[in-house]
Amino acid sequence: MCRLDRPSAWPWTYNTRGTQIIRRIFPSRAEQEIRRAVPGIHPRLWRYALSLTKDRAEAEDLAQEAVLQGLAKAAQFTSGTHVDRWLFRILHRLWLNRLRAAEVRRGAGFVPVEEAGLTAPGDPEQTFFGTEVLSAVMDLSDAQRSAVMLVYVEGFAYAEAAEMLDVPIGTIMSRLAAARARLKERLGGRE
Amino acid sequence: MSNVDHMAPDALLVAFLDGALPEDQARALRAEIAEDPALQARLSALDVDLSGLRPDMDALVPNAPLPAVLARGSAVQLAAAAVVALALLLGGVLIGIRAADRPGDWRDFAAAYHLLYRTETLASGEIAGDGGVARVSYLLGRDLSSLAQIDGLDFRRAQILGWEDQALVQFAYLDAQGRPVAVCLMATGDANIATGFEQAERHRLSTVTFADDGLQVLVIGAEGMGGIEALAEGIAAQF
Repeated sequence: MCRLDRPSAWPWTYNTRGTQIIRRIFPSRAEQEIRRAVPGIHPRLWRYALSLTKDRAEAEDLAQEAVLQGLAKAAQFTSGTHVDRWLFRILHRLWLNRLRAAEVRRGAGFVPVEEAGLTAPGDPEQTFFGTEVLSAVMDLSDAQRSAVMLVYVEGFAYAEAAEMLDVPIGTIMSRLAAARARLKERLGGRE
Repeated sequence: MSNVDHMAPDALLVAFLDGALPEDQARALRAEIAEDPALQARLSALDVDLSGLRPDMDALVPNAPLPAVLARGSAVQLAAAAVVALALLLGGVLIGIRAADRPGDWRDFAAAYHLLYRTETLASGEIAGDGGVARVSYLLGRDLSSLAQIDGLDFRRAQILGWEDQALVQFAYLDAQGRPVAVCLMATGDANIATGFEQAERHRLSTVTFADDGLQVLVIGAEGMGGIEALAEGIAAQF
């Protein structure tokens, strides 16, 4: 296996155009692993991005950026681990950065997302979120919606979702509890 | 869950509802709930039917866009790999390729690649399953399953290749005489582009090209093989 990763102490050789081309032709094992996994994961990334952004075009852009960043940072990915968790985590961080940037543009300065209680702009695309349950979930806060999507849609364990969102596991469970309570108010109970 | 005793009641109840508690703890909590009306009320407030959520989100998947970045990246690698392979295995043949046939037209390159195929190339190994067809269908954003069931051709596999910045999909078959046949598809980027059937001999292989509904299609068969145009027309009729 031709491995072309270089120590970070050699940036003058690592980031030249020539080495970039070579790396594209002979990607590292981690990058190959990510590339192989992307076709299967991308639709999930996109729908998660759609649940965050509530906008098809922005979701497409966000999912694309997450994959690009995942490939660019492939050297940080541990081969043999879960590509989906890696890419979901990157996507969520990118989304938080976008929200923060939007807040700064609005003159609010830098504030932690959780404190600011930011929400995606605009109404959900009714074409996609037309069912009652989905529509109710889209009305949850961003934090609750992320937890619901990662655990109840993507099937991640609490601990995995907590790692992706960079919060303690208890926070994930509290968010799920709050989400469940709100959804119960809106949707009613089980038959 | 090791810290279950320290969980906030709601978090504990969520884990209970989600079936995430170890059985002994779930049993203990169940008993506690049975005797505590306040816990029963709280459990009821959290007990919402979310079973429809996942199917609703699964239904969005067909609307997902193509992972264009993947096609771009792999195209470079695959084109490079194809160049290396052809240089090593077909050095002599490549020398004979006329200047007009040099890469620049993806169809020439696809035909040169097909030139390597022998009956044994496709006869050996497992036949591609639905997974391969689903994968290339997803890549091109089109249901291509009909290409795996063409009368008179034994479908062997569907694979992803690349040409410059684009994904190139190849379906490979054996005809009744065991001769390799291929159908290659590449997105045009413009759904309005439509062309008629163009027959051409490329690297001594019979080919027919057409474009329709956002796809360029190249059908490749052995030199002098009849029915290539009819095959192309049959494929076009399905688009």
